[in-house]
Amino acid sequence: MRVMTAMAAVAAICFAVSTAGAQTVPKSRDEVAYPGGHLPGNPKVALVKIADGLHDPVGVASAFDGSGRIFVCERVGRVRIVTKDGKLLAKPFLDLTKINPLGNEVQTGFVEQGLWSIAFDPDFKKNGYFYVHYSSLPFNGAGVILRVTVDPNSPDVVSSEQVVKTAKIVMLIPQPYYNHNGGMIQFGPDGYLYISRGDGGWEGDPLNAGQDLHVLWGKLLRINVHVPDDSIPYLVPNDNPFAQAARNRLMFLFGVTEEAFSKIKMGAKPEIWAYGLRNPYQFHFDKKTGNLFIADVGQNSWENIFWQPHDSKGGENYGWSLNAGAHCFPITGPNTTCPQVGVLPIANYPHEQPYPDAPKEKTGFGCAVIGLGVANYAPLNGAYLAGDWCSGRLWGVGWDNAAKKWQLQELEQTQLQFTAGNVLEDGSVVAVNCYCFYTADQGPLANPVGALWRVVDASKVPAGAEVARTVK
Amino acid sequence: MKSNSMPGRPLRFAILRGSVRSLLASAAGISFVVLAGAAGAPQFTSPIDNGPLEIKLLPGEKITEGVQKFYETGQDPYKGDPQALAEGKDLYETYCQACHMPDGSGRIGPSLIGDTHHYPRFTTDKGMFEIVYGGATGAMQPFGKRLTQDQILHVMAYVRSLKK
Ligand code: HEC
Repeated sequence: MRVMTAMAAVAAICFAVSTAGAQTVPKSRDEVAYPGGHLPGNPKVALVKIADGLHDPVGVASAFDGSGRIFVCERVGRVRIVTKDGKLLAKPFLDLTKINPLGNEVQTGFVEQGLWSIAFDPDFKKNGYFYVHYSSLPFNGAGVILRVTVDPNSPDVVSSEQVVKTAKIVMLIPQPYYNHNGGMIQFGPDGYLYISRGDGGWEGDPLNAGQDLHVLWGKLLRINVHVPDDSIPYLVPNDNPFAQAARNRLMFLFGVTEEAFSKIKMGAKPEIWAYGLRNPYQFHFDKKTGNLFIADVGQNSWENIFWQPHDSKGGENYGWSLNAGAHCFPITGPNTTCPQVGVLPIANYPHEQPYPDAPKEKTGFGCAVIGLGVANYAPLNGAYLAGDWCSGRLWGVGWDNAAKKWQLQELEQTQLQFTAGNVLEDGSVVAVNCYCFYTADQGPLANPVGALWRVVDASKVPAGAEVARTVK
Repeated sequence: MKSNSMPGRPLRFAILRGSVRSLLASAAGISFVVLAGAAGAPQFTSPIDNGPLEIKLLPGEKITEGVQKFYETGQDPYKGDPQALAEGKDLYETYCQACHMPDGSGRIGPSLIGDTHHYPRFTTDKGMFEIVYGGATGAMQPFGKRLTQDQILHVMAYVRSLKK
């Protein structure tokens, strides 16, 4: 169970009493939300531009330090600061392209590679720690989680010397192929660092990584970075779902039930929190409830959004690659059947053709779901937002207490290729977009620059603000 | 004027920028602006919301004679010109074929050949320019951020040549 901070816990309890108590994980496929639904109140939102001029922005986060600064990851290996009033500072906060005399620290050869995410220590104000997750050039594309300490005398620019001096590699995760790295890192309400890793790549999960508990690919991981001394990279929380099951034990046979045997997972990676994921590029905790949303990018057919209640004990199997969410993998036609494995998504939306040679969808389709964050403000009131990288659609997923089910609503269709999003200190959800689609990528500094956007109530767009174009 | 941006009145600004053009063409341009009505220069609009499309010159971009002709006539002057088509093909292979396929039959992006098109304005040169320059949804990005207007007219001419 994710132990929450006292405040969050109280909030969660209050919320549970009102509406969220009813929220449940779908038990059957017909409880999964599809496009065409309506969130309570049928909210109207707009995307308002905060800042422009970002090179392939693919991650965004707040430091929650009262500064209001917004930290944007540029794929090439830089983190840029956008100030509270929307100014993009010229000097990067972090620049991994220059710390190593042999060249960039970050591998960006393929568009899914780069500096994906930044997360600030819950105690950042005291210890100055922040963490980044990127594909490493010297480690041949392996995912590196690096801790760096900010010099309090230079809060907006971490110099190369400071990076080198304070760098601690927390985790190094080898990567077999150049795609499906996952990439987000976030602290949970329990103070542990959660890490999403994709299934290792190629397509169709050739390594069966999603279901393999012996690899870190295709998983959501949970580690404790608050170690008693820095010679220890990190600790595995004792209550991780496989922390005990993974231990080696003496051989025994008698007096043990089959059920008990089935729970022994010797050699499993104890860092695993949830598995059966394909490429969960973004995931977010609801700051109000502690619930967790995971946006998992799908194969050829369906995009999935999974949900865990705040009191989840972990160990969820999301089915990949035995299933593709609520659908079969492989899906061969309109009536493919297969057993359901693991935990269903709360919502999903199709690709333009949800099975081979299917009639083309006219609306409500996409190709890569990018979670943005939970909007605990009007008119969204707790809905989880997600954007699609290919179709520019902005989705809202929320619990409909009247209908007792999840709803998936297309809020608008934009021109933006969404790459990431997060919740800021003031609670607002922000998103970034790039012009770096696979088949249009010309390199992390050569693509047209992307921008940072805030999701606002459509009736409260500030005067003079630039609003993202939407399909009328 | 140093700015690359010309909000609001693209055509007139473009004409003012056209320093290399002959006086005659310049006169034609100005008369076109006048003809377009007192309200201002003719305006491109976005295919997705019909809102005004702001034309921004890329760094170093010059308004070519071809672009000028296009502004004045609404016709892509490179259609059918073999040398321009060769250039257009080159651009198409670099920037378009990954999504629309070498023969234009479509994959991630829709077919660019045949008679059925998503955006009705596809059939006019001004309309196709608006789609390619200003972008449509999602992966069909605004190529005005990457290509000069002259390059866009070249690639458009090539797309038209694919049409069977
Ligand atoms: C990364 C993928 C991608 C690339 C590269 C791309 N397109 Fe597109 N294109 C699309 C998508 C997707 C659509 C459909 C957009 C929509 O419906 O709003 C589209 C639509 C179009 C349309 C409108 C078609 C219709 O039916 O109305 C035209 C014209 C077009 N593209 C031309 C081009 C040209 C020219 C290039 C190269 C300069 C190009 N595209 C590059 C993905 C792409």
